[in-house]
Amino acid sequence: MEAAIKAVQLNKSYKNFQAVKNLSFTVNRGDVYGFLGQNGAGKSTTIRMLLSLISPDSGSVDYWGKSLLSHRKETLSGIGAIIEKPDLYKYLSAEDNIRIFARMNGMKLSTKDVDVHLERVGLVERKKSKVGSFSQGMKQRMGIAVALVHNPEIIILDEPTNGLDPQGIADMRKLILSLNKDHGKTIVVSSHLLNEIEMVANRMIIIHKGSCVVEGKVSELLDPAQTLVKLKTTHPENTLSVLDQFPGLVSFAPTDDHIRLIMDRNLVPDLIQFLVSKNIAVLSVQPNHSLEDYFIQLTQND
Amino acid sequence: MWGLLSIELYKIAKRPRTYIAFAAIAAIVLIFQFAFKADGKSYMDLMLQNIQDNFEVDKKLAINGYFMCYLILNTLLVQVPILVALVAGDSISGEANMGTLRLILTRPVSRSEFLWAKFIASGIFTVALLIWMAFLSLLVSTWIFGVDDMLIFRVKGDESQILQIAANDVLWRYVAAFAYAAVALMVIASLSILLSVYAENSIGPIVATVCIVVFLTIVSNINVPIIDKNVKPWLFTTYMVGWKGFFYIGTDADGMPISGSVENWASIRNSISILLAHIVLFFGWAQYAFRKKDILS
Repeated sequence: MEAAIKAVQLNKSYKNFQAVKNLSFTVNRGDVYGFLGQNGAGKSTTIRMLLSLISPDSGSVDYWGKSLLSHRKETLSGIGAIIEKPDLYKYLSAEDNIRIFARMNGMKLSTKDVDVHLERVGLVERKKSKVGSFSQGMKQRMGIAVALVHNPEIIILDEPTNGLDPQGIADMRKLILSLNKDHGKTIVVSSHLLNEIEMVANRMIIIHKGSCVVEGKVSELLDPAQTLVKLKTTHPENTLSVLDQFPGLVSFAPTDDHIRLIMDRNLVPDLIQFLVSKNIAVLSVQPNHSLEDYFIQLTQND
Repeated sequence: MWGLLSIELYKIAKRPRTYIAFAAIAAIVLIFQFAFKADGKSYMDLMLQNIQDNFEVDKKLAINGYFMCYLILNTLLVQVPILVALVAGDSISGEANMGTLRLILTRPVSRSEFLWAKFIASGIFTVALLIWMAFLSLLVSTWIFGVDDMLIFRVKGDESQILQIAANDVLWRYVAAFAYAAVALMVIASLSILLSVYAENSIGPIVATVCIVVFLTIVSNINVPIIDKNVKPWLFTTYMVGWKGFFYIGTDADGMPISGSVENWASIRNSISILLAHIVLFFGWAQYAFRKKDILS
């Protein structure tokens, strides 16, 4: 699979607070990639780094194999984004807004083009109305129209269902799936709700306190047969270097004091035996949560 | 770049607050003109009370369109910085406050070009304000009060002076004075933009600009030798009223005014240089800060 986005070892601190810590992940072309984490986990900071709104302290972001830092304008012309809520010029009409943002992408829209873009989000009849008079749901749809006006290959949506009513949430979900399946868009969507990600994403990452908890295919990560295993060994670095060789792991990631693995619970004895065969002593193994339980626990603890 | 500039101008034109400045200028100028039309003689009596024993002035002719424009500029150019700050101070922080800054910067728009577009748009707004002011205070005043030689009342050191400029020698001085005012106001615009880069709401930079201008204007008017020598030459507020220099006509050995001359060109050139240096400093600083800024709004 070709990588559309590759983030490597991203770090970002604000004064004494580290918002993002050694975060790496890859979004493949054609993915709907879920970015899951509770509020304050570092999702928005990461997404802003993906869009060059925030400079990382260290680490890099590449799009289609090219560095965002050195190909910023070229890269951003292929991306459409909504960050948190789609704030637009309230004192301008829907038509003015869409024309302005198209112009920023070097496009001049005809009246017909404007109608096509607004029709797609059901706002063509309100094109002369000021955006300030729109409901939250209409603003969200307007934001989508603006994000898609230049036909981007990648769409980044930060908490796109915030503030929407149940019908709006369902419509957004339908739109994301349609953009992916019918139009081949690669989509990154963040949320603090597991079920929201589960319904639209094929791959996902869970971040907590700025670090990756787990990354992988949604179907595998949320398989009830998969268990979250906390592993402590005498040599964590050696352990990380040999885990790739162990068959049956869905994913693994280091944390401050242990290694977190997603795997079939039945394979735990084989794993211990494998590590011992590599001269790594196992201090503890705790196979006690499914990923869903684990995420709920993270949310409840904080 | 031109695309961005046209977007900025369109947004300025569509914002109701833009027209507050034009309305405020129109209101003040019209009040001046009405008051002088109704009772200009009383004002002239007051102005001339110390010198009317030595000079004979035809007060009716003295109140003409050129004189009115000078009087209006003298009052208005102190207040116009507030109106410029209303637009320039809102340029970046207003976008941050609305949430549109993050949306714009996710587009293939260079931060540097975006700030240039804001700066040039603020400059065009400032020039538009000055043209409006010129239209009202010069054209409308000459239409209402007519045209004649222009008298300037000046306090130089301990003495009061009346300078007389021939009617046919006035117009170019106004063109130069308005151009000078545009440069001076661009200092305010660049200061406002700089403050705007650091803020997340519109009010902060507007109020901060006004406070800085008021504070520095007060310092510029403190007549203490140590401040005169060491502080004032570095303050842009010292040069804000430098446009008056174009009306201080040069004189010959007999003290007769020389048409087309200015008393001190070197001083005007120096003032413009310092104002331009402030623009470069403030806008350069704003560019540096904006390129480094994390967009958290």
